[in-house]
Amino acid sequence: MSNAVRLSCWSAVVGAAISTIAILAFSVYVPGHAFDGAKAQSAGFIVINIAGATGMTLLVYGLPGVFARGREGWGGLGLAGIALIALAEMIFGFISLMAATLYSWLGSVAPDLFKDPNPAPLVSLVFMIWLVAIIAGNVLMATAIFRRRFAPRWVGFVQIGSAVMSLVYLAAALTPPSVPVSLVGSLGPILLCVALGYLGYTGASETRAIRAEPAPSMA
Amino acid sequence: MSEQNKAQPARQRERSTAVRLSCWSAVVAAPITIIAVLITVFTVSGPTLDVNTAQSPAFVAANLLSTVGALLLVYGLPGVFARWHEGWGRTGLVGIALLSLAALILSFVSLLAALIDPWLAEKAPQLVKDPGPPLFLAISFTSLAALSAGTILMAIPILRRRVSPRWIGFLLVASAVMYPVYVYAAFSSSKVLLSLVGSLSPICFLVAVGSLGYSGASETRTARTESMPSTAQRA
Repeated sequence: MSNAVRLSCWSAVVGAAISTIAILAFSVYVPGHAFDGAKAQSAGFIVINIAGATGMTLLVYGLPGVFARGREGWGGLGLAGIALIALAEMIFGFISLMAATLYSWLGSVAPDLFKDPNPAPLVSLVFMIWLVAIIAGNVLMATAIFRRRFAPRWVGFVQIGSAVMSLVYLAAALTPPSVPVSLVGSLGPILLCVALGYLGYTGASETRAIRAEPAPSMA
Repeated sequence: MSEQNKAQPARQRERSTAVRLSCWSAVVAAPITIIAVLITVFTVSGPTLDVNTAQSPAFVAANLLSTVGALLLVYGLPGVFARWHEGWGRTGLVGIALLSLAALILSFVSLLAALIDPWLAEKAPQLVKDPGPPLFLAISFTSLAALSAGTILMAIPILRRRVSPRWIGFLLVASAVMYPVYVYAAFSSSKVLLSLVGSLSPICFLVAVGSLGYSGASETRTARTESMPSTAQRA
Protein backbone atom coordinates (compact mmCIF):
# COMPACT_ATOMS: atom_id res chain seq x y z
CA MET A 1 0.00 0.00 0.00
CA SER A 2 2.85 2.40 0.89
CA ASN A 3 4.12 2.22 -2.70
CA ALA A 4 0.71 3.28 -4.03
CA VAL A 5 0.42 6.04 -1.41
CA ARG A 6 3.91 7.33 -2.27
CA LEU A 7 3.13 7.40 -6.00
CA SER A 8 -0.16 9.15 -5.28
CA CYS A 9 1.58 11.77 -3.09
CA TRP A 10 4.20 12.40 -5.81
CA SER A 11 1.33 12.80 -8.25
CA ALA A 12 -0.01 15.61 -6.02
CA VAL A 13 3.44 17.29 -6.00
CA VAL A 14 3.87 17.17 -9.79
CA GLY A 15 0.22 18.08 -10.41
CA ALA A 16 0.45 21.11 -8.11
CA ALA A 17 3.59 22.39 -9.90
CA ILE A 18 2.11 21.94 -13.41
CA SER A 19 -1.22 23.49 -12.39
CA THR A 20 0.46 26.52 -10.79
CA ILE A 21 2.47 27.22 -13.96
CA ALA A 22 -0.63 26.77 -16.15
CA ILE A 23 -2.79 29.09 -13.98
CA LEU A 24 -0.09 31.80 -13.90
CA ALA A 25 0.47 31.54 -17.67
CA PHE A 26 -3.27 31.70 -18.34
CA SER A 27 -3.67 34.81 -16.16
CA VAL A 28 -0.97 36.63 -18.12
CA TYR A 29 -1.94 35.29 -21.57
CA VAL A 30 -5.71 35.70 -21.19
CA PRO A 31 -6.29 38.42 -18.55
CA GLY A 32 -9.91 38.58 -17.39
CA HIS A 33 -10.55 35.27 -19.19
CA ALA A 34 -11.52 37.39 -22.23
CA PHE A 35 -10.60 35.76 -25.52
CA ASP A 36 -11.83 35.69 -29.10
CA GLY A 37 -11.75 33.09 -31.85
CA ALA A 38 -8.22 33.99 -32.97
CA LYS A 39 -6.75 33.70 -29.47
CA ALA A 40 -8.63 30.45 -28.81
CA GLN A 41 -6.89 28.90 -31.85
CA SER A 42 -3.39 29.97 -30.82
CA ALA A 43 -0.91 27.27 -29.83
CA GLY A 44 -0.20 29.05 -26.51
CA PHE A 45 -3.85 28.92 -25.48
CA ILE A 46 -4.15 25.20 -26.31
CA VAL A 47 -0.87 24.23 -24.60
CA ILE A 48 -1.69 26.20 -21.42
CA ASN A 49 -5.11 24.57 -21.15
CA ILE A 50 -3.83 21.06 -21.82
CA ALA A 51 -1.19 21.65 -19.12
CA GLY A 52 -3.95 22.82 -16.76
CA ALA A 53 -6.07 19.72 -17.44
CA THR A 54 -3.03 17.44 -16.95
CA GLY A 55 -2.11 19.14 -13.67
CA MET A 56 -5.64 18.87 -12.35
CA THR A 57 -5.85 15.17 -13.32
CA LEU A 58 -2.59 14.50 -11.45
CA LEU A 59 -3.98 16.35 -8.40
CA VAL A 60 -7.09 14.14 -8.51
CA TYR A 61 -4.76 11.09 -8.50
CA GLY A 62 -2.85 12.65 -5.61
CA LEU A 63 -5.74 13.29 -3.22
CA PRO A 64 -6.25 9.64 -2.10
CA GLY A 65 -2.55 9.56 -1.14
CA VAL A 66 -2.81 12.86 0.74
CA PHE A 67 -5.74 11.38 2.67
CA ALA A 68 -3.97 8.10 3.43
CA ARG A 69 -0.67 9.69 4.55
CA GLY A 70 0.50 10.20 8.11
CA ARG A 71 -0.32 8.36 11.29
CA GLU A 72 -3.08 10.70 12.45
CA GLY A 73 -6.32 10.91 10.52
CA TRP A 74 -8.19 13.62 8.70
CA GLY A 75 -11.51 12.68 10.33
CA GLY A 76 -14.93 12.99 8.75
CA LEU A 77 -14.54 16.73 8.08
CA GLY A 78 -11.21 16.27 6.34
CA LEU A 79 -12.59 13.40 4.24
CA ALA A 80 -15.54 15.54 3.12
CA GLY A 81 -13.14 18.41 2.38
CA ILE A 82 -10.86 16.22 0.26
CA ALA A 83 -13.88 14.81 -1.64
CA LEU A 84 -15.08 18.37 -2.39
CA ILE A 85 -11.61 19.50 -3.48
CA ALA A 86 -11.47 16.44 -5.80
CA LEU A 87 -14.78 17.57 -7.32
CA ALA A 88 -13.44 21.13 -7.74
CA GLU A 89 -10.25 19.84 -9.41
CA MET A 90 -12.27 17.64 -11.79
CA ILE A 91 -14.45 20.62 -12.77
CA PHE A 92 -11.35 22.80 -13.26
CA GLY A 93 -9.82 20.05 -15.43
CA PHE A 94 -13.08 19.83 -17.40
CA ILE A 95 -13.07 23.58 -18.08
CA SER A 96 -9.41 23.52 -19.16
CA LEU A 97 -9.98 20.56 -21.48
CA MET A 98 -13.11 22.20 -22.88
CA ALA A 99 -11.10 25.35 -23.63
CA ALA A 100 -8.30 23.36 -25.29
CA THR A 101 -10.53 21.19 -27.49
CA LEU A 102 -13.87 22.92 -28.06
CA TYR A 103 -12.95 26.62 -28.00
CA SER A 104 -10.05 26.20 -30.42
CA TRP A 105 -12.37 24.34 -32.81
CA LEU A 106 -15.19 26.89 -32.45
CA GLY A 107 -12.62 29.63 -33.12
CA SER A 108 -12.05 28.16 -36.60
CA VAL A 109 -15.60 27.06 -37.56
CA ALA A 110 -17.84 29.61 -35.80
CA PRO A 111 -15.85 32.59 -34.43
CA ASP A 112 -19.06 34.65 -34.10
CA LEU A 113 -20.19 32.43 -31.22
CA PHE A 114 -17.53 34.08 -29.01
CA LYS A 115 -19.42 37.38 -29.32
CA ASP A 116 -22.75 35.80 -28.32
CA PRO A 117 -23.97 37.45 -25.10
CA ASN A 118 -25.85 34.30 -24.02
CA PRO A 119 -23.43 31.43 -23.35
CA ALA A 120 -24.62 27.89 -22.59
CA PRO A 121 -26.73 28.30 -19.42
CA LEU A 122 -25.59 25.15 -17.64
CA VAL A 123 -21.93 26.23 -17.88
CA SER A 124 -22.60 28.99 -15.33
CA LEU A 125 -24.13 26.38 -13.00
CA VAL A 126 -20.97 24.26 -13.31
CA PHE A 127 -18.86 27.35 -12.39
CA MET A 128 -21.03 27.89 -9.31
CA ILE A 129 -20.62 24.23 -8.25
CA TRP A 130 -16.83 24.68 -8.66
CA LEU A 131 -16.86 27.80 -6.48
CA VAL A 132 -18.90 26.17 -3.70
CA ALA A 133 -16.78 22.99 -3.81
CA ILE A 134 -13.42 24.83 -3.64
CA ILE A 135 -14.52 27.14 -0.81
CA ALA A 136 -16.23 24.44 1.29
CA GLY A 137 -13.47 21.90 0.59
CA ASN A 138 -10.68 24.31 1.59
CA VAL A 139 -12.47 25.35 4.80
CA LEU A 140 -13.20 21.73 5.81
CA MET A 141 -9.61 20.60 5.14
CA ALA A 142 -8.24 23.63 7.03
CA THR A 143 -10.56 22.91 9.99
CA ALA A 144 -9.28 19.32 10.15
CA ILE A 145 -5.66 20.57 10.09
CA PHE A 146 -6.28 23.17 12.87
CA ARG A 147 -8.08 20.65 15.08
CA ARG A 148 -5.85 17.62 14.69
CA ARG A 149 -2.46 19.30 14.11
CA PHE A 150 -1.17 16.62 11.74
CA ALA A 151 0.19 19.28 9.38
CA PRO A 152 1.76 22.71 10.04
CA ARG A 153 -0.82 25.42 10.83
CA TRP A 154 0.38 27.55 7.90
CA VAL A 155 -1.04 24.95 5.50
CA GLY A 156 -4.47 25.54 7.06
CA PHE A 157 -4.08 29.31 6.74
CA VAL A 158 -3.01 28.94 3.10
CA GLN A 159 -6.20 26.94 2.45
CA ILE A 160 -8.37 29.58 4.14
CA GLY A 161 -6.58 32.15 1.93
CA SER A 162 -7.37 30.00 -1.12
CA ALA A 163 -11.08 29.88 -0.17
CA VAL A 164 -11.23 33.69 0.13
CA MET A 165 -9.22 34.37 -3.03
CA SER A 166 -11.36 31.98 -5.08
CA LEU A 167 -14.09 34.63 -4.88
CA VAL A 168 -11.62 37.18 -6.32
CA TYR A 169 -10.70 34.62 -9.05
CA LEU A 170 -14.32 34.51 -10.20
CA ALA A 171 -14.70 38.29 -9.85
CA ALA A 172 -11.60 38.77 -12.03
CA ALA A 173 -13.32 36.74 -14.76
CA LEU A 174 -16.36 39.03 -14.65
CA THR A 175 -14.52 42.39 -14.62
CA PRO A 176 -12.77 44.15 -17.57
CA PRO A 177 -9.48 42.44 -18.57
CA SER A 178 -6.53 43.44 -16.38
CA VAL A 179 -3.32 41.46 -15.80
CA PRO A 180 -2.80 42.58 -12.13
CA VAL A 181 -6.41 41.72 -11.14
CA SER A 182 -6.12 38.36 -12.94
CA LEU A 183 -2.84 37.60 -11.15
CA VAL A 184 -4.31 38.48 -7.75
CA GLY A 185 -7.42 36.41 -8.51
CA SER A 186 -5.34 33.43 -9.61
CA LEU A 187 -3.99 33.22 -6.04
CA GLY A 188 -7.19 31.28 -5.18
CA PRO A 189 -6.34 28.07 -7.07
CA ILE A 190 -2.56 28.66 -6.71
CA LEU A 191 -2.70 28.71 -2.89
CA LEU A 192 -4.64 25.44 -3.00
CA CYS A 193 -1.92 23.97 -5.25
CA VAL A 194 0.75 25.11 -2.76
CA ALA A 195 -1.09 23.43 0.14
CA LEU A 196 -1.74 20.19 -1.75
CA GLY A 197 1.80 20.11 -3.14
CA TYR A 198 3.26 20.49 0.37
CA LEU A 199 0.92 17.83 1.83
CA GLY A 200 1.85 15.53 -1.06
CA TYR A 201 5.58 16.14 -0.52
CA THR A 202 5.45 15.42 3.23
CA GLY A 203 3.29 12.36 2.53
CA ALA A 204 5.80 11.02 0.00
CA SER A 205 8.73 11.71 2.37
CA GLU A 206 7.02 10.04 5.36
CA THR A 207 6.06 6.99 3.31
CA ARG A 208 9.65 6.70 2.06
CA ALA A 209 10.92 6.95 5.65
CA ILE A 210 8.58 4.15 6.74
CA ARG A 211 9.71 1.98 3.81
CA ALA A 212 13.37 2.70 4.61
CA GLU A 213 13.04 1.33 8.16
CA PRO A 214 14.70 -2.10 8.33
CA ALA A 215 12.28 -4.95 7.74
CA PRO A 216 12.35 -7.81 10.28
CA SER A 217 14.78 -10.52 9.25
CA MET A 218 13.71 -14.08 8.50
CA ALA A 219 15.48 -15.29 11.63
CA MET B 1 -2.00 2.05 26.87
CA SER B 2 -0.06 4.94 25.35
CA GLU B 3 -1.72 7.77 23.40
CA GLN B 4 -0.21 6.47 20.16
CA ASN B 5 -1.56 2.97 20.74
CA LYS B 6 -5.03 4.41 21.48
CA ALA B 7 -4.89 6.45 18.27
CA GLN B 8 -4.15 3.42 16.05
CA PRO B 9 -7.60 1.69 16.22
CA ALA B 10 -9.32 5.08 15.77
CA ARG B 11 -7.14 5.74 12.72
CA GLN B 12 -7.93 2.26 11.35
CA ARG B 13 -11.68 2.82 11.86
CA GLU B 14 -11.40 6.17 10.09
CA ARG B 15 -9.60 4.58 7.14
CA SER B 16 -12.11 1.74 6.93
CA THR B 17 -14.97 4.28 6.91
CA ALA B 18 -13.32 6.10 3.99
CA VAL B 19 -12.77 2.79 2.14
CA ARG B 20 -16.39 1.74 2.79
CA LEU B 21 -17.76 5.07 1.51
CA SER B 22 -15.52 4.84 -1.54
CA CYS B 23 -16.69 1.27 -2.25
CA TRP B 24 -20.34 2.35 -1.92
CA SER B 25 -19.59 5.09 -4.43
CA ALA B 26 -18.55 2.38 -6.93
CA VAL B 27 -21.75 0.45 -6.15
CA VAL B 28 -23.97 3.50 -6.84
CA ALA B 29 -21.95 4.46 -9.94
CA ALA B 30 -22.64 1.13 -11.66
CA PRO B 31 -26.49 1.27 -12.01
CA ILE B 32 -26.47 5.01 -12.77
CA THR B 33 -24.02 4.57 -15.64
CA ILE B 34 -25.80 1.42 -16.92
CA ILE B 35 -29.07 3.40 -17.11
CA ALA B 36 -27.23 6.21 -18.96
CA VAL B 37 -25.73 3.71 -21.45
CA LEU B 38 -29.13 2.15 -22.14
CA ILE B 39 -30.87 5.53 -22.62
CA THR B 40 -28.10 6.55 -25.04
CA VAL B 41 -28.57 3.33 -27.06
CA PHE B 42 -32.25 4.14 -27.62
CA THR B 43 -31.91 7.91 -28.16
CA VAL B 44 -28.71 8.37 -30.21
CA SER B 45 -28.71 6.38 -33.43
CA GLY B 46 -25.43 6.24 -35.36
CA PRO B 47 -22.29 8.35 -35.15
CA THR B 48 -23.88 11.76 -35.90
CA LEU B 49 -26.31 13.75 -33.81
CA ASP B 50 -29.32 15.58 -35.18
CA VAL B 51 -30.65 18.85 -33.82
CA ASN B 52 -33.81 17.34 -32.29
CA THR B 53 -31.89 14.64 -30.43
CA ALA B 54 -29.30 17.13 -29.12
CA GLN B 55 -32.09 19.24 -27.60
CA SER B 56 -34.16 16.34 -26.26
CA PRO B 57 -34.45 15.95 -22.47
CA ALA B 58 -33.56 12.24 -22.75
CA PHE B 59 -30.20 13.08 -24.39
CA VAL B 60 -29.35 15.71 -21.76
CA ALA B 61 -30.52 13.42 -18.90
CA ALA B 62 -28.49 10.45 -20.23
CA ASN B 63 -25.33 12.56 -20.45
CA LEU B 64 -25.83 14.12 -17.00
CA LEU B 65 -26.39 10.64 -15.52
CA SER B 66 -23.28 9.41 -17.30
CA THR B 67 -21.28 12.34 -15.86
CA VAL B 68 -22.47 11.62 -12.32
CA GLY B 69 -21.81 7.89 -12.75
CA ALA B 70 -18.29 8.47 -14.08
CA LEU B 71 -17.47 10.91 -11.24
CA LEU B 72 -18.73 8.39 -8.67
CA LEU B 73 -16.53 5.77 -10.34
CA VAL B 74 -13.50 8.07 -9.88
CA TYR B 75 -14.38 8.28 -6.17
CA GLY B 76 -15.00 4.53 -5.97
CA LEU B 77 -11.88 3.06 -7.59
CA PRO B 78 -9.43 4.10 -4.80
CA GLY B 79 -11.63 2.23 -2.29
CA VAL B 80 -11.73 -0.88 -4.48
CA PHE B 81 -7.91 -0.74 -4.66
CA ALA B 82 -7.44 -0.06 -0.94
CA ARG B 83 -9.75 -2.90 0.12
CA TRP B 84 -7.52 -5.60 -1.42
CA HIS B 85 -4.32 -3.55 -1.74
CA GLU B 86 -2.06 -6.55 -1.10
CA GLY B 87 -3.69 -8.61 -3.83
CA TRP B 88 -3.80 -6.13 -6.70
CA GLY B 89 -0.03 -5.70 -7.05
CA ARG B 90 1.49 -3.33 -9.60
CA THR B 91 -0.57 -4.72 -12.49
CA GLY B 92 -3.82 -4.02 -10.66
CA LEU B 93 -2.61 -0.57 -9.57
CA VAL B 94 -1.79 0.42 -13.16
CA GLY B 95 -5.11 -1.01 -14.34
CA ILE B 96 -7.10 0.94 -11.76
CA ALA B 97 -5.14 4.14 -12.55
CA LEU B 98 -5.96 3.70 -16.28
CA LEU B 99 -9.63 3.07 -15.48
CA SER B 100 -9.69 6.26 -13.36
CA LEU B 101 -8.28 8.18 -16.34
CA ALA B 102 -10.95 6.67 -18.61
CA ALA B 103 -13.70 7.57 -16.11
CA LEU B 104 -12.37 11.16 -15.88
CA ILE B 105 -12.43 11.50 -19.68
CA LEU B 106 -15.89 9.90 -19.87
CA SER B 107 -17.20 12.44 -17.35
CA PHE B 108 -15.67 15.23 -19.48
CA VAL B 109 -17.18 13.94 -22.74
CA SER B 110 -20.61 13.40 -21.16
CA LEU B 111 -20.69 16.79 -19.43
CA LEU B 112 -19.59 18.50 -22.64
CA ALA B 113 -22.40 16.75 -24.54
CA ALA B 114 -24.97 17.71 -21.90
CA LEU B 115 -23.86 21.37 -21.68
CA ILE B 116 -22.75 22.29 -25.17
CA ASP B 117 -24.69 20.15 -27.70
CA PRO B 118 -28.17 21.57 -26.88
CA TRP B 119 -26.70 25.11 -26.99
CA LEU B 120 -24.92 24.44 -30.30
CA ALA B 121 -28.13 22.97 -31.74
CA GLU B 122 -29.81 26.30 -31.03
CA LYS B 123 -27.01 28.69 -32.04
CA ALA B 124 -25.25 26.83 -34.87
CA PRO B 125 -27.30 23.77 -35.94
CA GLN B 126 -24.94 22.99 -38.82
CA LEU B 127 -22.16 22.22 -36.30
CA VAL B 128 -24.12 19.51 -34.46
CA LYS B 129 -23.58 17.01 -37.30
CA ASP B 130 -19.86 17.85 -37.50
CA PRO B 131 -17.63 15.06 -36.13
CA GLY B 132 -16.14 17.67 -33.79
CA PRO B 133 -12.70 18.98 -32.89
CA PRO B 134 -9.76 16.73 -33.85
CA LEU B 135 -8.30 17.03 -30.33
CA PHE B 136 -11.62 15.85 -28.95
CA LEU B 137 -11.47 12.70 -31.08
CA ALA B 138 -7.89 12.07 -29.90
CA ILE B 139 -9.04 12.35 -26.28
CA SER B 140 -11.95 9.97 -26.90
CA PHE B 141 -9.58 7.37 -28.38
CA THR B 142 -7.22 7.83 -25.40
CA SER B 143 -10.17 7.08 -23.16
CA LEU B 144 -11.06 3.90 -25.10
CA ALA B 145 -7.44 2.71 -25.02
CA ALA B 146 -7.21 3.40 -21.26
CA LEU B 147 -10.52 1.60 -20.68
CA SER B 148 -9.59 -1.56 -22.59
CA ALA B 149 -6.02 -1.74 -21.19
CA GLY B 150 -7.23 -0.95 -17.66
CA THR B 151 -9.94 -3.63 -17.81
CA ILE B 152 -7.45 -6.32 -18.87
CA LEU B 153 -4.85 -5.24 -16.28
CA MET B 154 -7.54 -5.30 -13.57
CA ALA B 155 -8.71 -8.78 -14.64
CA ILE B 156 -5.19 -10.31 -14.45
CA PRO B 157 -4.72 -10.11 -10.64
CA ILE B 158 -8.30 -11.30 -10.12
CA LEU B 159 -7.71 -14.41 -12.22
CA ARG B 160 -4.14 -15.06 -11.02
CA ARG B 161 -4.22 -14.08 -7.37
CA ARG B 162 -7.91 -14.58 -6.63
CA VAL B 163 -8.37 -11.01 -5.35
CA SER B 164 -12.11 -11.60 -5.74
CA PRO B 165 -14.38 -14.32 -7.24
CA ARG B 166 -13.17 -15.51 -10.64
CA TRP B 167 -16.47 -14.69 -12.38
CA ILE B 168 -15.67 -10.97 -11.90
CA GLY B 169 -12.40 -11.50 -13.76
CA PHE B 170 -14.19 -13.32 -16.59
CA LEU B 171 -16.76 -10.51 -16.75
CA LEU B 172 -13.92 -7.99 -17.14
CA VAL B 173 -12.30 -10.08 -19.89
CA ALA B 174 -15.68 -10.33 -21.67
CA SER B 175 -16.03 -6.56 -21.40
CA ALA B 176 -12.59 -6.02 -22.98
CA VAL B 177 -13.40 -8.50 -25.79
CA MET B 178 -16.66 -6.66 -26.55
CA TYR B 179 -15.01 -3.21 -26.86
CA PRO B 180 -14.48 -3.50 -30.65
CA VAL B 181 -18.22 -4.24 -31.07
CA TYR B 182 -19.04 -1.25 -28.87
CA VAL B 183 -16.79 1.07 -30.92
CA TYR B 184 -18.07 -0.37 -34.22
CA ALA B 185 -21.69 0.14 -33.12
CA ALA B 186 -20.92 3.72 -32.05
CA PHE B 187 -19.42 4.64 -35.43
CA SER B 188 -21.69 2.61 -37.72
CA SER B 189 -25.15 3.46 -39.02
CA SER B 190 -28.15 3.20 -36.76
CA LYS B 191 -29.02 -0.32 -35.64
CA VAL B 192 -30.45 -0.57 -32.16
CA LEU B 193 -29.77 -4.31 -31.88
CA LEU B 194 -26.09 -3.88 -32.74
CA SER B 195 -25.83 -0.97 -30.28
CA LEU B 196 -27.46 -3.11 -27.58
CA VAL B 197 -24.97 -5.93 -28.18
CA GLY B 198 -22.13 -3.38 -28.14
CA SER B 199 -23.38 -1.84 -24.91
CA LEU B 200 -22.79 -5.21 -23.21
CA SER B 201 -19.13 -4.16 -23.00
CA PRO B 202 -19.57 -1.19 -20.60
CA ILE B 203 -22.41 -3.03 -18.83
CA CYS B 204 -20.19 -6.09 -18.07
CA PHE B 205 -17.47 -3.75 -16.82
CA LEU B 206 -19.86 -1.80 -14.61
CA VAL B 207 -21.42 -4.98 -13.14
CA ALA B 208 -17.89 -6.19 -12.29
CA VAL B 209 -16.84 -2.92 -10.64
CA GLY B 210 -20.18 -2.63 -8.81
CA SER B 211 -19.77 -6.17 -7.44
CA LEU B 212 -16.20 -5.41 -6.35
CA GLY B 213 -17.46 -2.27 -4.60
CA TYR B 214 -20.29 -4.15 -2.91
CA SER B 215 -18.08 -6.93 -1.57
CA GLY B 216 -15.50 -4.32 -0.50
CA ALA B 217 -18.13 -2.34 1.40
CA SER B 218 -19.56 -5.49 3.01
CA GLU B 219 -16.17 -6.85 4.06
CA THR B 220 -15.10 -3.48 5.48
CA ARG B 221 -18.31 -3.31 7.53
CA THR B 222 -17.69 -6.85 8.86
CA ALA B 223 -14.10 -5.91 9.75
CA ARG B 224 -15.32 -2.80 11.59
CA THR B 225 -17.91 -4.77 13.55
CA GLU B 226 -15.30 -7.31 14.57
CA SER B 227 -12.75 -4.68 15.64
CA MET B 228 -15.27 -2.74 17.81
CA PRO B 229 -15.36 -4.22 21.35
CA SER B 230 -18.92 -4.95 22.52
CA THR B 231 -20.38 -3.28 25.65
CA ALA B 232 -20.15 -6.55 27.53
CA GLN B 233 -16.48 -6.97 26.57
CA ARG B 234 -15.70 -3.42 27.69
CA ALA B 235 -17.48 -4.03 31.00
